[in-house]
Formats: sequence, C-alpha cells, structure tokens
Amino acid sequence: MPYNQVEVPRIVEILFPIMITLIAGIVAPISVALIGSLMFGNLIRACGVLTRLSNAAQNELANLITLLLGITIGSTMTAEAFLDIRTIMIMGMGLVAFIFDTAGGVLFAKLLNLFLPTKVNPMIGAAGISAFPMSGRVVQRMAAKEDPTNFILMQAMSANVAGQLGSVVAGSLILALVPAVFSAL
Amino acid sequence: MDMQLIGAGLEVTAFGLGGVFAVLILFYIATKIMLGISNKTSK
Repeated sequence: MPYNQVEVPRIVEILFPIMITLIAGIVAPISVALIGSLMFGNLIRACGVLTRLSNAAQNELANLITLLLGITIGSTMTAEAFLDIRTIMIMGMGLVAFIFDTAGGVLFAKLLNLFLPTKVNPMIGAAGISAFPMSGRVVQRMAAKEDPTNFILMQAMSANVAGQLGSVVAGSLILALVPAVFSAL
Repeated sequence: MDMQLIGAGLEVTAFGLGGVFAVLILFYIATKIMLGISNKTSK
C-alpha cells in the first residue's frame, strides 16, 4: 500500500485537538469529558512548551492511574460480586462485540475497495476498534507475516484512533438516545 | 417478540451509527480544511 508522508504545520497540530473537542461537544455533549481528556493530552504534547507536563502525563501519571484503577477495581471485585453468571455473560457479549467489530471492519474495507480507485489493505479495517494501540500493532504484525515488505502501521494506527474516537462518540450517543427513545415505549 | 421494542432498538442503532459516521466525517473535513488553510497561508 502506498504511504504518503504529509508535513503537518505546528498550528494545525495545536488546532486539531481543540477543533475535535469542539465538534464532539456540539454533536455529542456527554462525550466531552472523555474526548477532552484525550485531546488535552494531545494538546500538551503538540504545543511544545509543556514538555515536562507531557512527559509526566505519559509516564508517571499514566502508570499511577493504571495502578489506581487496578487496585480500585480489584478491591471491589469480591467473590460474591464477581462469581456470577452475569459476569460471564458480560465477557461473552464483549467477545462477540469484538469479533463482529473486527470482521465488520475487514468486510467494510472490502466493500470500499469495490469503489476506490486506489485499493486499501482490508486488514486495516480490523484495526478500527477502540483497543488502542494493540489492534493496530497486531494488524501490522499479521500483515508483515504475510509479506515482509508490508508496512501498514501508520494506516492501522489512524484507523485505531478513529475507532477510539468513534467508540467514545457511540457510547455518548447511546447514553443520550436510549432514555429518549425507550421512554416513549 | 415485542416488535415495538425491536423497532426502538433499531432506531437507536440507526441514529447511533449515523452519528458516529457523521462525527468522524466532520473530524476528517475539519482537519482537511485546517491543513488547506495553513498550506495556503504559508505560501
């Protein structure tokens, strides 16, 4: 697959997170907390004058939050609450969702290839899920295994980030739509 | 089967999918516009 490197000016790098937060806030206001946090990290890295804060957010803060999340979830995961049939059902539904998501991405990329003059590698569709950055890396590894000259990491990562943003927006739209639609029943 | 419930579920699915695609397309258009403007002004 051809890959064209595009030079992105600094001003666009800085404006990008601000615009994304604004658009997401207008279309799906509930998503602003999540998208805003994601884009704040992007902004402090892209602006270039907050290197210390950006490094702290990427390393110390990310590790601390991971530890705190693990400890908090682990401490509330009591046997009575966890050993429940509903836990298995939730895990099963998650697994089915991931399978359909991955297969749907590949099939949609194949559908797009019917109309595109420059074909895209359908494996990129499999990276369009919110599991960032593992799905992008796995897709790149699988592509390189098939053909060592395959280099689709950048395209897979962009699909992966789009999947991440899309899942946040989808979640917030469902939170807004479900009570509105189902209250009429 | 409760057809009304299925209909409501399909309605949420359609609006949700439409919303996600619309937002991602808007992100793409906004980024392209920003790139275009900045390339024009830098020339």
